[in-house]
Amino acid sequence: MRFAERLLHMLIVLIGVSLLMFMLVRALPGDPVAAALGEGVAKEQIEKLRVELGMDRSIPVQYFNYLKDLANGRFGRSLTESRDVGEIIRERLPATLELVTVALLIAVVVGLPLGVVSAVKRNKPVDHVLRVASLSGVSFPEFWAALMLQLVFGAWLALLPITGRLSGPPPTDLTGFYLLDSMLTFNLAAFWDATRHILAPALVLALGPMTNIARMVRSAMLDELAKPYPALSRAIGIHPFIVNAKYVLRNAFSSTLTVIGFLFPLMIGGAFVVENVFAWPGIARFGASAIVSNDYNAVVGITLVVCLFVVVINFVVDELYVVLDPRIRLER
Amino acid sequence: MVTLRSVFTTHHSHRKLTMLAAGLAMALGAFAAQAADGPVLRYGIEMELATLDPVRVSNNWETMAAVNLYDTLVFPDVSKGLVPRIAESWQVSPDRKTYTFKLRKDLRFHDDAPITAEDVAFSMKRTLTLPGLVGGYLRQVDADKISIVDPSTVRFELKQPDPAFMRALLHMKVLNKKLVMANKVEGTYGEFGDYGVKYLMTHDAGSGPFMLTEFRPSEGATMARFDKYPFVKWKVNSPAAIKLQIIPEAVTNVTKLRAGELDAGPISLSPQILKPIDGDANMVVEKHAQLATYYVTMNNTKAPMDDVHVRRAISHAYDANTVMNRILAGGTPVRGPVPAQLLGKCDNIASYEFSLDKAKAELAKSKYSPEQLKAYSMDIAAVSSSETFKNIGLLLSTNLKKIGLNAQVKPVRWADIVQAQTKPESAFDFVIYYDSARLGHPSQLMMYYTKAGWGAAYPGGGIYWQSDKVDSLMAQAAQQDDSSDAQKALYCEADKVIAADAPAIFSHTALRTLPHWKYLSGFKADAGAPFFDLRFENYEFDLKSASYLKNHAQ
Repeated sequence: MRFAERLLHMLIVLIGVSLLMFMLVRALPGDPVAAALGEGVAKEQIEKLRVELGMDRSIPVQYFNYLKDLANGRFGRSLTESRDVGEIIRERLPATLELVTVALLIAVVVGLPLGVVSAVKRNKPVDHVLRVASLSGVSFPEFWAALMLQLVFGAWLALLPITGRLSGPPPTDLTGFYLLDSMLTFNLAAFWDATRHILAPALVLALGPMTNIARMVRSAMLDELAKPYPALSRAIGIHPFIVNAKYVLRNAFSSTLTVIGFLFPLMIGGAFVVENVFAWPGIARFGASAIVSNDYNAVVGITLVVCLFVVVINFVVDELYVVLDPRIRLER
Repeated sequence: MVTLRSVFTTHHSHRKLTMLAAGLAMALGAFAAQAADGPVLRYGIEMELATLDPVRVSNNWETMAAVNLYDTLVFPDVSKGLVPRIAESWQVSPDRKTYTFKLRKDLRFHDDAPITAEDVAFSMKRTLTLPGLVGGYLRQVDADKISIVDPSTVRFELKQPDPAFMRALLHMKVLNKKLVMANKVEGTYGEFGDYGVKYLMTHDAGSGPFMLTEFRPSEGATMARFDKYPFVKWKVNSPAAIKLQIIPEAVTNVTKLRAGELDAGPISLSPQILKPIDGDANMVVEKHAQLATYYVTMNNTKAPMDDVHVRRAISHAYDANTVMNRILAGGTPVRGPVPAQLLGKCDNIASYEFSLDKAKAELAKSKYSPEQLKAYSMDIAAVSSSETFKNIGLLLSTNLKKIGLNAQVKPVRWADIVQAQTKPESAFDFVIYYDSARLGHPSQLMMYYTKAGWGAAYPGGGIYWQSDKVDSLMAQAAQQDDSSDAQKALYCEADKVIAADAPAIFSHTALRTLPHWKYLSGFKADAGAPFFDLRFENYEFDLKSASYLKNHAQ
């Protein structure tokens, strides 16, 4: 019942977002049809395309047709690529999801322990160093960090590829995630190739979130460490490591979990710079150019996809709270 | 199921053997049509290849792919203008409305099918039916009067004479009708379905020097050499394949080029980004003059640009030299809308040297007082994604302020510019842009100085200037043999009239820059038509060069 209720809420949110975005992009000034056809195109050509795309009809009729198509898995035709936006999203989304997943993994795996160490060693030299590093990580522009990594590890040291997802042939297409597909098909060469390609862009994308996670964990842990139970636990003989890892961190983690949850859809949209610099064939790059060129259907489609991730992740995070905090389970 | 073993047992008929033999022959034939091993040219490009359909291409890189995958009825030649290609000859009726093309009988598409009049007629009909840039160039062709005279003769009839028609044929790529129709899907074009639009986005149906072998959306495309292409003598150091790699960030392109992961490209990067290559002994930046013209439109219906003296003053305040040589990579100044290369001998065209004193002197002749001029707040629209245009705008704005005119740069999206220009009341005071002169014909460039160009969805559509004399001269030019001296003389006169009235600021023709490793040669400075200098069939590698061996060992 509760699940059905959540599902209904998600549907209402998605329809609302689709309506809002549909109207918003059409309210923007500019003629995307003429822009899409190219320079100096004749008026008759513009009108021909407008009719072909159904853009000569009223907005409510256009929206109704859009919803009809959406129900059949079609997101409308992209002005810039002249094919269904759904097809483009299906093609490019795995690349972005894979990049964001690896980046988030790096951010959590590195950021979490850094935050813990920083909190436990509060005001010691290691805390100061980590806090300065953390601030630097947030301050470095993504664009600059990406170009530096390309130059140093790609061009000078030739350790990592400069662009793209692969140098060689792709693994058998099962999910579109090259790392996963190559693991599932035991294609070690493709796995290694894909890993080398994803490292640099994922590291750049992880920088900001990593430092945010470290700072949040530090702050939350300091709040918990100030409470009486950690000192009491240590006093009765529980090893400090166990106290910090099993009790303090677990209590401190719920606020960080919310942030991590929302980082995922944010990183999907924010991966534009990284995808551009590393020529990563993902959805963020396409989304950014769709906004600039007023590609109506592409803007709405990508927004819906990101929105879907937000609502699903919101749901998953809510359920994870229950696992982390038994009090919530009891309340329910 | 037929297995090799089962074919050779006595239980199976000869038919299965024949099928196997036929299959083997086809496979071998296909293999023979494919390129032999050889050097692969790795070329960086900056924009997406949204489609490889020659009717639908809109950016420079899609156009580059199309000129390599497809051929046309005629071909550009620097000295002769247009020469036969798929057509071996053609005849033009005295009223210049009927064109009959006789085709060569020995030409083949990439799948070895012969090129016939039916393919040409189909290609023209398709071009006129689908919305796209190329259809606009050929709009005078009567779609209902395309006739196949015989298997190797096709005839087109125009609604009215069009001096640019033959040039426009450089954009009409000839497609393999059978292949396209075999791959059509449901669409809005009756028996033609979708006219192969979906198929041709990611496949080729051409007869050009290269054929598409791989296409990965948003990553790039690979084109293999078409060994049977009759117009080129392939050598062992000719590119066996071209690998176009989409790399949106200009600095990343240069990093890859310098690291040896690319052999060439992309075109037209800014001089600042190209500096490290200029200083490298193993690399070079080619600089070729283009027809692409930089200009700044003025809305002639809005005060104070409705006064010719104000327009001339603004032209004097435009520092073309700094724009050409400091903001861009060089170029040649133009006087009037048409580059000198297209006008032949044409002297005494009004020009406006950069001089703030001359600008002030012209302003003093205008009907507006200095106080009135200062009160006008003008927008210089520059495409928001282009730092170059914004810098040009800033330079102009600074100089206009020095002569008492108030203008500020306004970064605007391209889609907003093209819409604004369609009406005189919404057209921007100034728009900075360049015309890539795809058609390479004076009539196309001068169109925006006639009523036919008013309100076009393009920066030039917002000029709203017209002259009866220019209209008359252009009508007379349309009656002349294309590219003849008589025609050029008439365009020259029209150009003079336009330049004298300064309805826009005419800046310069651009230089196309192309960075590449020195082991790659064969670039044509001038191929006779825009984009034909981007064909790869004349490129050659120095296979013994140390740089080549190092870069291609990776």
